[in-house]
Amino acid sequence: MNTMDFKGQYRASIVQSVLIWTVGLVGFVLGFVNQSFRLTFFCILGATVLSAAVCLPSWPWWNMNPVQWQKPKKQNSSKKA
Amino acid sequence: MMDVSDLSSQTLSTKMMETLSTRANTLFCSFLSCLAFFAVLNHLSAYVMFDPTPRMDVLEVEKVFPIRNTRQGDQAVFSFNMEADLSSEFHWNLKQLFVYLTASYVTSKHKRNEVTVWDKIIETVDDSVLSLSSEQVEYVLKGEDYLRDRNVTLRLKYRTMPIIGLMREKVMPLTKTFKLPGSYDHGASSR
Repeated sequence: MNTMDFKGQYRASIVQSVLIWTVGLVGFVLGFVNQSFRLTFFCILGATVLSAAVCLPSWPWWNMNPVQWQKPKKQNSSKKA
Repeated sequence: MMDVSDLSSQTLSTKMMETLSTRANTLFCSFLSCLAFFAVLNHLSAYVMFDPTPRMDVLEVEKVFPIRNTRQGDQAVFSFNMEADLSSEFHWNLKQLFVYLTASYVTSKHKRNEVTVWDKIIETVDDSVLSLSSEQVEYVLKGEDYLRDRNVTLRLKYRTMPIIGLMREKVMPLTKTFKLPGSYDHGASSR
């Protein structure tokens, strides 16, 4: 299974909140113009579903800066014994 | 043979990295905060942007039927005409209006009697202009004692039910007072 690296986590959280709040604002304006709060609600819900699809699974684009682990040290102890 | 360093990096990564449920939790939290924020804005906009001016032009009693004297006490039925325009109450934070006509009267046992004689739930602006003629009451006036010659006052009240916020009860200023008949309906008398 893919993992999400630390940069990917940060970016995912930004994308997710920007998406929800931007669409929420648009939905609020649309709802006000059409005098229907149902519209606002479905805009926010839609943005949440979309960002769930984009940000929840460990898509490869969230793993473009994987952690570079150090190479394991050579273990001489077993040879000595 | 087990590679110790590989195992430790595995446990480290699962501990440090956010899990799927952590991310789902954050997402749900954003959803709720955003919804709550705009819901509060919606509520406030109704205060600032909308000023309801409900109108009521006609409230009159069309016909008062003779009082029936039953074992439970007197029962009075009447019909009425009413014209009211509640369309200005509607805005985007209003779910529905509960409109009801009350009849209040005094009896010898109780100083204050109030009966809802007619009600209606208005869900859309299109239905918010009421024009009723010869509308019969839905619920009869019942008295534990005599209702003959009692004065009855009709009042239109309504309850605003918003999507976000508190329900309010409003009373229309126009009232109508009439006198119940002094004689019984002998044909329907059960006593």
